[in-house]
Amino acid sequence: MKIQDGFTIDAPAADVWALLSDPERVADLLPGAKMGDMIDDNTYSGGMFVKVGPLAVAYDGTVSFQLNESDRSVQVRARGRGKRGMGTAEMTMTSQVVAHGDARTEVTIDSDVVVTGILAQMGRGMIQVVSKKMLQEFVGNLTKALA
Amino acid sequence: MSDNGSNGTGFIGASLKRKEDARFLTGRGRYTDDINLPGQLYAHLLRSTVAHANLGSVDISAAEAAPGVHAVFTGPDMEGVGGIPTGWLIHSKDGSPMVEPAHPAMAIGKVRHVGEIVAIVVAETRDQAREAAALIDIDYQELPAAASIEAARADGAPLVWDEADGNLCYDWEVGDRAAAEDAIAGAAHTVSIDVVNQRLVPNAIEPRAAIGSFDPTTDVYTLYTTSQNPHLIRLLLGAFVLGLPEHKLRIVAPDVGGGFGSKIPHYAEEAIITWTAGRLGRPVKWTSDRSEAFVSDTQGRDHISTATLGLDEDGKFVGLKVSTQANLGAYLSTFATCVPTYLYGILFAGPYTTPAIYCEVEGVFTNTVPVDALRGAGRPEATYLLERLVDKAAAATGIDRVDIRRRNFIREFPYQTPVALQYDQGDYDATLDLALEASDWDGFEARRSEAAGRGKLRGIGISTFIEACGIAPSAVVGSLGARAGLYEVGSVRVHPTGSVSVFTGTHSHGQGHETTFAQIVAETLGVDFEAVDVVHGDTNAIPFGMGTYGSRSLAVGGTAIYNAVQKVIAKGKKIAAHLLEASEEDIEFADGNFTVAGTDRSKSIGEVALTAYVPHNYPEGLEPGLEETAFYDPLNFTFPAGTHVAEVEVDPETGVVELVAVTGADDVGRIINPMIVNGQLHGGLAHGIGQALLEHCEYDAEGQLVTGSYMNYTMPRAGDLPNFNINHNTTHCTHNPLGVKGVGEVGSIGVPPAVINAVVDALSPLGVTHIEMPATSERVWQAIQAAQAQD
Repeated sequence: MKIQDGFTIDAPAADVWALLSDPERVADLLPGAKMGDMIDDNTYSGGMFVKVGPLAVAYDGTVSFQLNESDRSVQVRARGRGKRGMGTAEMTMTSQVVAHGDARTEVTIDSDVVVTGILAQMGRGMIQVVSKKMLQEFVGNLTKALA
Repeated sequence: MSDNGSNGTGFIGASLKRKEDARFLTGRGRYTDDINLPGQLYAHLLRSTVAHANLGSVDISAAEAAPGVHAVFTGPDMEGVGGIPTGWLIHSKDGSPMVEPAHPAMAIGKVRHVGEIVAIVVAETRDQAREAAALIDIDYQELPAAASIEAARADGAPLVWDEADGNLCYDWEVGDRAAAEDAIAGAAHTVSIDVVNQRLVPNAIEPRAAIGSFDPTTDVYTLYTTSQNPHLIRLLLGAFVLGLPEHKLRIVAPDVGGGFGSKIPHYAEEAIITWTAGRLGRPVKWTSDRSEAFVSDTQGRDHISTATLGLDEDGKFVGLKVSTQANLGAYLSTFATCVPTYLYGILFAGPYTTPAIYCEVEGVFTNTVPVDALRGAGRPEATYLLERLVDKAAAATGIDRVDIRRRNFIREFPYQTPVALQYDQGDYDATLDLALEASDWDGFEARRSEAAGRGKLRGIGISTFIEACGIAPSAVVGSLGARAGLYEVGSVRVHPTGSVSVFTGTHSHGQGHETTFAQIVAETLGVDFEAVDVVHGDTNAIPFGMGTYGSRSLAVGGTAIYNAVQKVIAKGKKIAAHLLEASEEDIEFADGNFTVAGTDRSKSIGEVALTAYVPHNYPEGLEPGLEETAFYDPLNFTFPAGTHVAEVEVDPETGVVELVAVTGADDVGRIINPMIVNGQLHGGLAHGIGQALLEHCEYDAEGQLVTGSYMNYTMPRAGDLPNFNINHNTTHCTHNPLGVKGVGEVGSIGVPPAVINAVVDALSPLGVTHIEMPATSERVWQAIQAAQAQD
């Protein structure tokens, strides 16, 4: 499922990029995310807890980052397996930081989410809504962090 | 005795309260999950979360070591055990047999749909089994999926089975192609339609369950299972899968909470649970939860069709050609192959005299849950297509919708259709007239105007239909590829004191057999209704049987019981003649009494029964006892018919469809219990309305079921339904002694096109000519917007 989203924040693009290009800080700000050990330069183990309607799924897996300093974009690939046989989730997310003047920054987010198992069966219609809500919380946390 | 087999005691035709309801309504029903055997273990079945993948490593070591776990088995452990068989061999146009791939009970090497069983975990408790299953590590090497008919038939589509080119199981046909095409080519008018008959989930209220056990003292396996046909399961599981003879395998289908066709097939779970119980030497129980049912119960319908009807100047149908693609799912379930062929293509005459008909069907494999029978099974799909097409023909020719149907009705019987069936009788004008009057069809325009004043678009729709029930005879279905006979068995045991046990090979899972069959026996044998009990669902108790589906139980199973009663009466006459010192030919039987004709000398059935078991004064050479069994193989299908009328109001701002009236005029043959018959009609109508307006089973392109819960699969609720206006015009079936036809599937066959015809009628002033099922508010709103954009 493809989800297009984005936000604009009152902060300089360089500050926003500095934060978004630091995986550990991103994980701190993303609700439900937990960063584990570094596996290689670009890859970490990690966990994600998502609540979709009546379902709560805890995923364990890996997340890798591909930073592109030249256009201030980052591609994040996450793969996780749900605990207790709850199926799998896979996400590819590309974010780009675009300066709008000195103090205003737009971040575009294109993601492709594939879930299997019980979450696909029961919660698919809600994934978009849940992802929007998570982004809102993330932006809130981000705003505070940059303030 | 009257011409309809009645002794006049009044049980037949009476709305007696159902014998079974006391236990159901007080929570004392005994369903499979209510049964617990000593030493029982619990199974959890680990199912594929992906639609198509090679199975890499399957690591069960952590699960095996988990608390309470007794065993973990995967597909390769069951190698050597037979695969799940298919019940009907279909041949393609070129005479070649269908592609019939292997169907292992658990996946070996590959998974082909979400929900396919990969492993069984057996533990002390259900929770332990579930927890341990989560520890199994499966390396799914995912493959592209063919998750719909279109995707599976596209060039270069992923193959569900390597041996099935183009994912084609068969390419079947019925009727005379050249005759139909010639008739259409020479027709004054031609009308075409493309329709989708969407996939449905059966949703029986009781999820499936199974308990397997093995008795080492007798070497007998017992399987308790939620089945509509226990003897069929014994045949398939014993002969084809486990290699067990009948006397070493007992199948019990106790109280079963609805089936709608989804409990006909022999499921892999039945084989796995029975086999596992044998391996472990302990009883093993599995109970499906609702989420599991969504991805493991067989699903229904799922056709894409295109059809053309030719008409002459007067609106008479001259030729019909139908091309259908039917989704069979990833594996061939027991009756998957015959539902879209011999239960579908042969229905296209409907109640009409169309002289040339041709139907071709592609059976298509996809990476989805297997498809099998669902209430109506093939006949709703055919009826929907035909009745939508007839409405389009009326619109195209300017002939009134009712008139065009009447111009084409069959009125001479028996009638041989061009698609194999021969109708024995019917009176289609009578049910049509009844429905028009009961629905106040003629007063509709006033109601339309009144609704328009409230800003609502009101529409009325009609469907006139036949169904073919009580599928038979065995020799005919055998020649068409059926791998079983379709007769039924009834046994009537009159006990020494005159009470009666009736044993039937059919199975009741909501149909009320315990009542209806008791009414037949009480009336024909002249005993009290309370003195008759009906036994079903246990292969150790019942001589044999083929089970319940296709509205066959009364027409085939009821007739077998009736015939067994006649054998009892015939033997009773010999005993009574001896006691009364009269000639057997002079004995008449009525109201439970054997009487010497023209005298008042008689013996009651109770006296005769006692004599049969205490044969001190008894005819020489006659066996003691009073128990008879009849196998009944019907001479033909039965042909219930009817007219359904639906009336809707559409809100043009929101697209919301309100179903305001449903009228049925049905000919279901002779009625034994009107309350049960009307209950069946109500249930079928609700089911059909669910398909027309609400239900839709959908997969995404990867083969994930996205309508896998009641949050996104919409079942009809009471508030979605109007009061049903049910009417009967009864004609008797000519080839069974009770004159009965069948009723269980009527609503789901007849009403969907009536509802959609009503919605299209409501929207027709806006230029809308077709809408697909389910006619949800979104679809209706989109159709309105699209029509207005064209203006």
